[in-house]
Amino acid sequence: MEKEERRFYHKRLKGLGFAVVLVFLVLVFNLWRLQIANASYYAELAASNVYKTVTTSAVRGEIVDANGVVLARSVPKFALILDWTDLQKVNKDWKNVVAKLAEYIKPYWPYPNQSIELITEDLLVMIRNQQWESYQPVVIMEDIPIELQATIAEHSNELPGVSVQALPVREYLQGTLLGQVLGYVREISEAELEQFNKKAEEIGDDYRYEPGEFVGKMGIEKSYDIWLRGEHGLDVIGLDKNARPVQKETLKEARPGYTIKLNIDSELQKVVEDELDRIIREIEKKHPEAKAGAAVVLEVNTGKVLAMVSRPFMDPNELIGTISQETADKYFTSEDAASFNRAITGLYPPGSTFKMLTAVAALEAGVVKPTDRFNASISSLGSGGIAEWGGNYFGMVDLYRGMARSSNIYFQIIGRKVFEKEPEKLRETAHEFGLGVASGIDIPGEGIGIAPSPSWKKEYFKPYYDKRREDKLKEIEDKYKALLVKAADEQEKKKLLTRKEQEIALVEQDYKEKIDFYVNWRLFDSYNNSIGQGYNSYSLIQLANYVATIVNGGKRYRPYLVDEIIDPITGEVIKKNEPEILNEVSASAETLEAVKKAMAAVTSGEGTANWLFADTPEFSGGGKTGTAQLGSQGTAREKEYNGMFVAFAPYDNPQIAFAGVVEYGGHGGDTAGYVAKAAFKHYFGWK
Amino acid sequence: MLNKHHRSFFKSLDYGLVVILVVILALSLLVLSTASINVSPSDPYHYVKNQVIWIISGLIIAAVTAAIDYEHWRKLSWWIYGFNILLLILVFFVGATAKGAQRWIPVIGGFNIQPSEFAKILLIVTFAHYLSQRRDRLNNVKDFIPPLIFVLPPTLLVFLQPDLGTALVFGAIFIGMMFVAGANPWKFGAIIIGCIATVIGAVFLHFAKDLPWPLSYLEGLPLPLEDYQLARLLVFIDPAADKSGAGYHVIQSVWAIGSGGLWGKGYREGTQAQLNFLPEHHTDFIFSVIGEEFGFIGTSIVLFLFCIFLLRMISIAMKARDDFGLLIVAGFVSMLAFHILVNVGMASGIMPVTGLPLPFLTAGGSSMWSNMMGVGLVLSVALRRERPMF
Repeated sequence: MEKEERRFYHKRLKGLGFAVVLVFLVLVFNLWRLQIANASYYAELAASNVYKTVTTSAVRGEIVDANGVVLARSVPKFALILDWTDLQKVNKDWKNVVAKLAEYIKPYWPYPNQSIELITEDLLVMIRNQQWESYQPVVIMEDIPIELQATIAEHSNELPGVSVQALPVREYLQGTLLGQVLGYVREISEAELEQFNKKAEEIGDDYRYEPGEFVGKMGIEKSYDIWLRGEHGLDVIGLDKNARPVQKETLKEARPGYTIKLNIDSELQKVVEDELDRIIREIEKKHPEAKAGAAVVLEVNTGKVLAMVSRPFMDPNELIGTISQETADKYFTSEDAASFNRAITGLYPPGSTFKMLTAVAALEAGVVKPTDRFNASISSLGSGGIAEWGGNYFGMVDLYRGMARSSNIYFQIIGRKVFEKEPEKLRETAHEFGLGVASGIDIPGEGIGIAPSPSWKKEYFKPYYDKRREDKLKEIEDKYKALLVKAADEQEKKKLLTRKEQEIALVEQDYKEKIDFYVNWRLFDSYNNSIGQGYNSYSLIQLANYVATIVNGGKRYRPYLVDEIIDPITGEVIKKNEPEILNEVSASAETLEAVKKAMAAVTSGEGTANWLFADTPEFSGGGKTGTAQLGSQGTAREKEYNGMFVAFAPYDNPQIAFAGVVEYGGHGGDTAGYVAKAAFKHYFGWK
Repeated sequence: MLNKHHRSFFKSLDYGLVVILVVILALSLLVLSTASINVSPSDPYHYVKNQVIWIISGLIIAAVTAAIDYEHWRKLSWWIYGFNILLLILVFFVGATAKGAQRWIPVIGGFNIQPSEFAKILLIVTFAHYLSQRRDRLNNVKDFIPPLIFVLPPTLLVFLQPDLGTALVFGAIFIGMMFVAGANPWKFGAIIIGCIATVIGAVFLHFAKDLPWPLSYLEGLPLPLEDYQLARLLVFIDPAADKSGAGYHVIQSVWAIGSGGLWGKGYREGTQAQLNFLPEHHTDFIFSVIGEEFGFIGTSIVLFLFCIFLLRMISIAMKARDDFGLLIVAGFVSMLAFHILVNVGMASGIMPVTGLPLPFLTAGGSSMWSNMMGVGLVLSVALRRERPMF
């Protein structure tokens, strides 16, 4: 090559070299921008791409009785799982796989009449509902039978993404025993999820509920959920771009829930349940509608609940998973809804079991002494008085005979004296003994009830009649305003105004009458209240605790079901519930002793329940029968009575108190009384 | 004669270029051993093993090509040109379709060859011969037309496969060689810029909406491009527009490179590639794996190696015996530079997705062989360089 030519090419090649260097500089600059200047930004983006932290669920804690008998636990059951990413990846025609799956599970599907097409449809809906977090598998069926497991295993190559996995399922080993007290668990609802987590945030709780998680919906399961649920574990799952997990690292192991140990003795519980069932079956022969009843056994010096029964019975196992309309009706919507815990939620007129309270109030108000005797004649009461049961005449009656024979007239006489001297005394005394106030029991849903008094009656009913009067007056005002505008002359106006005055006068008259009858305290109110009728209504737990408070020397304990919360791994007691005195009553020891003695008269001598313990000489203690009218006078249920019975034993240094009710049970003694007897016999080990 | 020939071959070999190449090839095996590990689960080293075969066979091809005096090709130039055209036409009849384009010719043994890869080298050789005959006749715009007509047939055939990427490589080779061969830089540059502006304008009009009159008549201007090619163009303008389709590749690649930082996440620790977020990470997007696992250090080293590799070739060109050899080297440099620019630019989000391989690093036989052929030609030019007389 010529020298000049070479020089020319050199210049051009240098130009090319310059262009090459320029290309590299541009590329390196851009890489500097990505990898140095914005590295952390992209690192975050890439990380968000790859990792999902997934909470793992903890095994829910057990519920055991006072002796360690397991009442509720979580056991692995085999669930049919569909991993839809697997399904989609393996086979483009994945809908056919779902149809095939529907065919295999049809014989085991909860709704036997559903066609394969409809099951397929249901499965597709389940998959669709899960798609926003497709790395989590869809649970198609919980607790599948062994035959279906075999079928799935056999056809596994036709069913990509379908597998059988062990998932913990709640199991209530004793079936109906203690059903309403234990409660049940179900999948958390969307509203609860939001509500619970918001609350947790407010109180600084780290726990967050996850969709699909099981939570307690009732009873111990609900009120002790924070102890039973355990703590979530945390897994970091590496996902590929199809959201398929490719690696897993456990950041935190899930901590299993704590064991809840109850005060309930399941043996005693069973005795009480069986006896109540027997009594209800007896009554059903005469009253087919009689299905319901309840009973509570309390330790009087601690407030421990030793047994708590509600009928109709509830089997929490039936409320797991998909439930049928029939089951839902039985437990939630029927008149005798089985999920209703009558021992705490049911409010009953106490009937004669209230008479001890009247006695305490009368003795404390100083209007009567235990030995004061009154002629138990209806003439002692005047109009509005309520006669003795069966039209008996008991002659001269003091506190002990009055209680023993359950003399309505005696208690109306002393009750009336109390109301005349201190109108609010009965209500205040009732509250001191826990009647008409929350008992504070450690499961949700307790009824409060009503302990009436003149001020209560006024407060409760007056607003209604006030409003009614105001509405009527306003109506008249409006009506005449319109008419007066249209009035032709002065004369007509005058006529209208007179008519208006008359109408107002009528309303005022009516108001006065209504106030007098329904708002003001009347003599019949005093009478009704003195014997536990009228507006009185209390729960069984309140009644049992009221008896306990009378016989333990006036300490009102908070009744409680849970004794200890135990770590299942270490056996360490995490929390122990101690007896808690809510208040001490103002009544004197003499008063309480007198009433206790009066109660003892009921189960001995000429008492209304003297026969009950005749064959158990070991018995000492007392009780009170009660018969409360279901309907008011003149209604169809006027002749129907709930049988109530309260009791304690032994007489010296009382240990346990009982309250029971049998709907349609007539006299309390020969219905609920037998339940008390069975409970005492078992508790004290009598033959 | 053979003996003497041998001696001078090893004595005169440009060892500088060879050493750089060997380092690049060694790196390619290292990178491929992490990038392809999850591609074929039954045999994690499938691609590495294949690449070793391609490298060894490629080195033989390079040695053979280097041993042959490139002057021989001058005589065969028009035959080669014809063979090239024939090969590219053949693709339309026996070509296997991959990703919407007929690019592959099946050969015995389960391997496919990609004629457009070799067409690049064949074009360089024939165009170098053509230009060497037209020295001093590249000063006017009129002079640019015959060379354009020369490269147009193979370019059009590649474009119709359709293989837009390779067609653009032909363009880059054309521009680079024309410039070195002596095209008037001002006039030639003006035309190139004009052409690029026209293409960009046409693409703009194709997608444009609501233009003012009279431009509104040109809305939706038809383009001779396939849907997927247009999609890639659109994606280049706005990757987020199609996060799961073509834009997904670009976004994931940029995230991979960016997340690598200075030192990278480490060998086989790159989540983007190892968890399959990054598509084609053993072929077109292998540079993203380097960026993610070896960081800025890794990408800089690779780019530096490529840079000195190309500059070394330019220095070889400067010592070439004649303008034919010199232009061959210039063509090959232009080709490689364009490949690197487009591939790395695509991976780092500043170039559209065209599917051009990264020379020597992307897994694949055809491009390895054609690149080795190019290296052989450069070495042949170096072997027969003009030695300074003492």
